[in-house]
Amino acid sequence: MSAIVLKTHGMTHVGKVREANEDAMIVDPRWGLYAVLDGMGGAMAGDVASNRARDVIHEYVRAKKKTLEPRALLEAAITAASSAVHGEAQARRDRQGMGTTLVMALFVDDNKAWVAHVGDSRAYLLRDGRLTQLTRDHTVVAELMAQGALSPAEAENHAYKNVLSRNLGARPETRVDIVDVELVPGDRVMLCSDGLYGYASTEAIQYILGSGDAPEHVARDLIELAMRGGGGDNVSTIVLEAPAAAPTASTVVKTSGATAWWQKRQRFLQIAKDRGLPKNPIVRGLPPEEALELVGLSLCQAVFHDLEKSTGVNVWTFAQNLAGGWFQRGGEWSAVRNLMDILHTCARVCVDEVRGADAQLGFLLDVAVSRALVVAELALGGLLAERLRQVDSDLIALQTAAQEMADREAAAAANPPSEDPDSSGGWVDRPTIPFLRPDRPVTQSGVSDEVMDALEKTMTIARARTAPKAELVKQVLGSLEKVAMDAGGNFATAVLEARELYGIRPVDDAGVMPLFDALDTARITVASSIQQVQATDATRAKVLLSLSTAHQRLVGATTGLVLEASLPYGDRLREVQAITSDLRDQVAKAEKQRAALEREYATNIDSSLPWGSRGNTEW
Amino acid sequence: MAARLVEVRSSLDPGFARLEPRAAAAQFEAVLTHQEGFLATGDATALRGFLRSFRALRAAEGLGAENLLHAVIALGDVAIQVAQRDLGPGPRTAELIASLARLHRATARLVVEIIAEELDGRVAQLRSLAGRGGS
Repeated sequence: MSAIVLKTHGMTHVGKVREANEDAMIVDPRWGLYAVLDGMGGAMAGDVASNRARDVIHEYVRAKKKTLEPRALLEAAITAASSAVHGEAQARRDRQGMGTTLVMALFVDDNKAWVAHVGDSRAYLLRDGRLTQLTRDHTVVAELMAQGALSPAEAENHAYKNVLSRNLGARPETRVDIVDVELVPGDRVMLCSDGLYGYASTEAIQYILGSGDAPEHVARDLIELAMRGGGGDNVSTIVLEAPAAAPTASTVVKTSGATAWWQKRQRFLQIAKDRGLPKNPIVRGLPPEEALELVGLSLCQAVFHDLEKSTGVNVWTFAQNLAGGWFQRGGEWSAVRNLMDILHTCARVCVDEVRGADAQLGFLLDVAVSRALVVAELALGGLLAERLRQVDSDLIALQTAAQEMADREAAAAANPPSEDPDSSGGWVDRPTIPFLRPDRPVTQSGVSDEVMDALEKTMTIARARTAPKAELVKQVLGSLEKVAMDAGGNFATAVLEARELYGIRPVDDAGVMPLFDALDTARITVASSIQQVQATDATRAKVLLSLSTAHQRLVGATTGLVLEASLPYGDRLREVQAITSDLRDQVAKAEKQRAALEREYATNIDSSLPWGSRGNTEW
Repeated sequence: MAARLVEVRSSLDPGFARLEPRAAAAQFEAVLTHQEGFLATGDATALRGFLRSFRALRAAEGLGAENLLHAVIALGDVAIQVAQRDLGPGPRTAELIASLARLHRATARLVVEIIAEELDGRVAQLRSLAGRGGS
């Protein structure tokens, strides 16, 4: 095969958000060298990194292309660039951490392209209308996906989606991925930074690349596509075309086919009218001629433009506009289906008539028009699926609300509100610690004055024995006395006193332990103080019982408060535990796969190769 | 066609990308067989039933409704490319490729119908639930 003469064009744009363009490019047909670099680093350091790497690579290739074979040339040039960027990054504080991605294509005489890359700038190949990515992104997420640790859906929303695992400048050397591609006439290679694919779908890129337009128009259209998608980053693209040697089927369709189709538009509209298009609910209310023009002629125009450009954008837009507004107004699918069936019939008849006059042209047009109608179905299916997602979301919300209502009703039925006027609320009267049942009053009504007197004396002695600085212990003693003296016998006093003692404190050792220490000290002090009281053994025993019970209630109430305060932390802890468990599973899986890969590649290590080819992990 | 589809399955859609070659080949052959039946008989019943099952399989994998549509269309594109590349020139080839193109469009329409039916069912559920909640 004779050498292919490429048609090339490169274009770059700062985007809509960034203030400076930190991308750099090489478009050098004389040396067959093309590259896109995307710099990173604060304060214009990205610009420095990408330009420096570009200059080093360009110079190296020009100097060594005739003496080194392609793979070695690419590795050496890229290593030199990485070393240069790294050196500059180390030399100045404001450039530390700077680096750049790189994707480059080197063309040699025998129609072969060598594509090398580091980072997440990409190379694509368009062949026979199908777009293939030639490079695999060197990002943390892409590496995990390649190992099967992440699914595409998980990767899309991952926090580290854009974090690179390799770039030029992070280290003096870097690992380079290189592939070679044998080009055939009609192929297109496209190099781009993430500012393109990050803001444009693969389908749209494929349509534009496959349009058949000259590379300069394709490059411009790709940039515009990225701008329409948001333009949140610098965008650069280089389009390289291996021209077709002879007119292809797509060329015939673009010229003669599109013309033949357009010449049939009146016939198309006539058939549409006969088939009842103006009576379709979507266009009801419009005069028949206007309905035909709005729908029928629009489709004819859309198909014509798509045939000319070998794209599907216009039919897609037509179908979206037709059905989108209808569905938003609550219109039924049946009306759209009916309309599309009419349009399909019209198209079929027109194509058959062209075939009757020219079999070959008719065949090509048949395939192209069928493809256009497939695009229309794709657009309609997308709208229906979007509506399905909305309805699912509404269903979930309704079902959740219904379930919550049912749960509340069930809870209310199981626990009817009490009519006891003394009831002070649910949780106070429902102790969660068994020994704190409120049906055991601390002091019985009718308790003797002797016991009350002995109790007061005990507390007086206990306070006297407490160190002056032990304020918290004194507070606890005061609370103990109140709980022990409370003739009502319910739990409320213990809870109120516990809240006074707890106050506001953090739920950790420093916050909570001093309180429990004080409770314990108070217990010991009180127990020993009882022995000092002048009273009968029986009286002292009753005092000890009442104070012990009061102490138990106070400790129980305090524990309840600690549990209540730590509840949110418990939920969060459980959440984090679940996440940690998942992460552990993922790490174990990744480790297993890594071990398998290492085992697989361990036998392939060739110690005579340079370091960069040994496959050491570089994160 | 099945062999070529297995080769390029990663670029077709995420559902196929995750499959081992043997499992992918089985799925592709199932699709092609049902399409062949439709092409031969003109009866879409079996193909429609198969596509419904395929949709359910994909839904169980967490893939959205339009994912099946994208997958089927990508599959059809590759099938037509294989026919264009591998069959020699001639009127019979042209007829076959034109038939494949029409089949491609018909299959896409069947999937759209399945999505529309699913939507109708959900809307009916939503109306029923909303009515109960309001009463």
